[in-house]
This record gives sequence, C-alpha cells and structure tokens, in this order.
Amino acid sequence: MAAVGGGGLPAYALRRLLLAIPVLFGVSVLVFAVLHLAPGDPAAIMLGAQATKEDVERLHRDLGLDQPLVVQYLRWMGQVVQGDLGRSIPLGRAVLPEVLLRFKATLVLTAGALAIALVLGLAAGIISAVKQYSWLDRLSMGVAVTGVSLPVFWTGIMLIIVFALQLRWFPSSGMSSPYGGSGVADVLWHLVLPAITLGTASAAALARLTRSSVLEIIRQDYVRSARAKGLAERAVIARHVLKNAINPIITVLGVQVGFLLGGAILTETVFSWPGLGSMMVRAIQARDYPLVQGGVLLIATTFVVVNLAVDLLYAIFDPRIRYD
Amino acid sequence: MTDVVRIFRRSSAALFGLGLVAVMAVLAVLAPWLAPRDPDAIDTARRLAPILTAGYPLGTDEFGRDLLSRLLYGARISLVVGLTATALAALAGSLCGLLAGFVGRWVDQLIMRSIDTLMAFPYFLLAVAIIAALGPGLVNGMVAVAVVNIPFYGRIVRATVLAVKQTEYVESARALGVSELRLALTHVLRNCLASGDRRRDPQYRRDDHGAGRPLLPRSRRSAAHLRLGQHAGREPPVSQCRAARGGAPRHRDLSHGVGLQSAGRRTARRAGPAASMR
Repeated sequence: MAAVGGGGLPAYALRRLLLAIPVLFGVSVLVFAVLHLAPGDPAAIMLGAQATKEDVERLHRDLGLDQPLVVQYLRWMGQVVQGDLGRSIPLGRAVLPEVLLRFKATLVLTAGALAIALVLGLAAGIISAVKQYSWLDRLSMGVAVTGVSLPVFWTGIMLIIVFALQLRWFPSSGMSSPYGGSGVADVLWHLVLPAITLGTASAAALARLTRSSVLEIIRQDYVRSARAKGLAERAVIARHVLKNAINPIITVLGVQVGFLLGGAILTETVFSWPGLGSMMVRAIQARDYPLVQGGVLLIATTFVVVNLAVDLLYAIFDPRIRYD
Repeated sequence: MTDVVRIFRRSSAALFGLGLVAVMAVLAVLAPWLAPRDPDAIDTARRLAPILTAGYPLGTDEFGRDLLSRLLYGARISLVVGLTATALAALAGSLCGLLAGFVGRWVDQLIMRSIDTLMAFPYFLLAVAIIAALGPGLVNGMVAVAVVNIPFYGRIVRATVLAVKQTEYVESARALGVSELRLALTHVLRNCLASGDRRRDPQYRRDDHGAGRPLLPRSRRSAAHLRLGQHAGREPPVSQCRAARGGAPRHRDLSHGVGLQSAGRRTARRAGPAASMR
C-alpha cells in the first residue's frame, strides 16, 4: 500500500476510495441476503396475529416484498446510489434522517470511548515501557489484561451499581436529563459511565500495544545516540521514541474505531443510550429491512472512511512514507 | 510440541493463564459432581438469596436457582463455545489467508475484499443477523462467533505467508520441483504457524490476547437474551456462565434495554419462561 517513492497522495486516496466500492457493495449484499433469508416477515409482524392471509399479501404488494429478491435488491441499490435509503417498514418514515439522528449519539459515545482509550492506553503504555519491569509496569499491564478480559455488559452493570446506584455520582441511563438539561456539560455527565464501559477494552489493548511498540524503538541505536548527546530523557521519549512508535498505534486506531462502533450496541442497550445500535436491534426483530440495511451501510462507510483517514495519517508521522 | 512447553516454562504469565484455564476446565468437567444442586431447579421461596446463604454459597437468582451450580454448568458451555469457535475461526481464517497470500492476484483481491467486508460489518449485528438467519441453537451460535472472527486470522496469516513466500527455502523447494499444493501446506503454512509472527501485520497486534476473545462475543450475545435453545424450546434449558452473571440485573429491568431476543422472539414468548420452568 504505502511505499517509498514519488508522491501522489490524492491519487492514492482516490484509489483507496475506489477500493471501498467493492467492500461497501459486499456489505450491502451481505446485509440484504442475511436479512431476507432469515425467517420472519415484516408484514406479518406489523399486522399481528389477527391478520388474514389477504391482508398480509396486500401489504407485501404495497411494500414490494412480493418481487423476486434480485429485483428488490436492485431497486434498493438504485435508491441508495441516489442518496435515498428508503422508508422504514413499520414507521413509514424516511430511513436516512432517522439513522443519522441516532448515529450522532453513537458517534458521541464512540468518540468518548476512544478519547478514554487513547488517554489511558497511551499513558499506561508509555509509562510501562519507560519503566519496564517496575511495579508500575506490572500493575498497569495486569490491569490491562483484566480490562481486555472484562465483558462490556459486566463492566457496564458494575459501574451502574457502584457509581449510579450507590454513590449517585453519575446517571445510569440516557443521554440527557429529562428536565432542562440539554447542554454539552449534561451530555458529558451522562457520557462518563458508558464511555468508560466501552473504552476499557480498547484502552487495555492500546496500552499493551503502546508498550511493545515503545520498547521496540527504545532499544534502537538512534535513541542511544540521542541520550549520548545529552538530551533530557523527556525529550528523548517525546521526540525520538514516541514519534517513531506511533505508527503501529495509529494503524490499530482504525480497527479500534470499528470495534467500538460494533461494540457500542451493547453499551447502548445497557445504558439506554439513544444510539444507532439499540434501534438496529429492534429493527432486526421487526424485520425492518430498509432500516437495518441503511444503518449497516452507514456504519460500514464510517469504518472504511476512518481507516482511509488512518492510512493517510501515516505520512504525517513518518515522512519517509510516500503514497504511489 | 516441545517448543510449546519451552515457551510456557519461560513465561510465568503464560503458566498462570494456563493454570487458570485448566482450573476452569476441571471445574467445568466435574460440574455434575461439584455442583450442589440442579442448575435449573426452581425454588421460588428462595428467590434472590444473598451470597453465603446456607446451602447456596453464591446465593440464588430471580427464580431461586442456585448461582454456584449455574456458574459451574455454564462454564462448560462457555468453554466449549469459546474453544470451538476459535478453532473454527482459526481454521477458516488461516485457509483464507493462505490462499490469498500464496496464490495472489485476483484470488487475493477477492478474499481480502471479502474479509474487508466482514470487518466493515458491525460484528455484533453480524452475529445477531446470522443467528436470526440460522435460528438459535448452540451450533449456530458457534458458527456466528466463528464467522465474526475469521478476518483477524485471515489477515495475520496472509501477512505472514507473504513474508515466508519470499524466503530462500521456499524458492529452493520450488526449484526442487515440489508441487504448489505441498509447498503451500508444508513449507509455507507450517512456517507461518510456527513463527506466528503477528507483528508483521500491526493491525492485529491488538489480537495478541488471542483465544479469549471469542468467549466474549459469546457472552455479549447471550447477554442479549439470545439464550440459545432455552428460548427456542428445542433444546433443554442451558445455563451459561453468563446466564448466571447476567441474571442479576434483569429484575432491575436493565435487560429491558438489553432484550435483543431477535430470532426466537415469538417462540420466546411462548416457550421462554415455560422452558425455564420445566
């Protein structure tokens, strides 16, 4: 992907964007196939147990569900390329605004979790590497292994019991206070527990990666030279070690964002966070095909874009990298 | 094999982890003898007994079922699902990675784009959707968890294959006239597995916490009330580690939000509580 040679960042970005097309196409086929092949019928679910066969069939015709699957897929794709994700089956509303509204909440949660993961993970990783084999190193790596092992729903429930029910420091659910509260501070206050819950595993993984990455660099000759010429240790770490150790960490960030977006669903349900995940799960239950398909496409697009951005970030931290 | 022993001996952390898993495995295997009572026996008079109640060392859940027994029996399912799903994912992922890296060209493009597709798909929804399509059940659950984890193995193996392919011993084996299939399976794949050098693909360094991962999606999913079998009413009620762990908050109605009883929703209403009562 990245090679030493002539420049051409825009060309590289364009080529990567083109590569995203088959991936998103694959995602659309996969989500369409899995949903439509799953047993269950949105019309029957919508009309309930009392509906007659004729009612269900009429609704099928109205929704276009009586067409062959290929026709349904092509019709949906035709809408999607025009920027229209269709209409939700039970709600009857356009999918795009619904999904975008919910997605904003998911993004806030993901960003909060990512911030926590970055701050905790980088700090713990750097400290462990610089003070290798000290009690601080052992402690933070021990905590990291534990953090990686904890299931999201367990962490969430424990945090709720301790910090929401017992100590009453933070709210246990929702994104804003029911009365009056809608400012940034209120959202942040609601964000604390869910973001910690979602970010813990990522923080732990980042800490371990940062430690190994920094340790690899710290043994290089140029670090010894930097120390030998009398640079302060702080400057050696910041300028010579971290700048070189950061690339694998950035690489992982892209995957972590996907992991957080995918994992946000459980956190959202535990904390009643009004995000995309909880809506999607309800939509799968109702076999609301357009809503699920639209939501999955949105998340997949975000993942692809974030990973492209991550790949483009390399060049900033490692000027040796040229895209061609 | 001796390599494995040596690696384990050298690392106290690895030994500790191995010991932990071994203890869990022994407890799971011996569950029928160790568990004080039937994990599914309901005793409504003793609902929500606190920890250290006489006869119920870890207390009871909202149906009065013994939590210790449920944990012991649940460990069996968690371990079997975790290990099987990991093995499945590793097998399928390694094959994909080997094919992509060794054959290259359009095969590589096709496999890697498919893997990218799987990765771009939100994994939790993918698992829920697979369960919705295949129907609930232990085997389908394992398939779902395995599919979700294929990309991680696929990418690591492919990156390693690309590196091993360049080595001189592969070149000389090819010069000696070794068939491509044999070359791929014995010379390349074996060396990929042996070196296990995940660092070649820095994206997956995060995966160095290895086999524990698939256990978690499993628990995540079950937390979501996809309690396989129990809801479908096709298989006897099962307790999992998680069923015990996740049971506590349910009566606080937390799980109302967590209620992703996707596939067996209507069957659940019919068979769910009844199945538990059996």
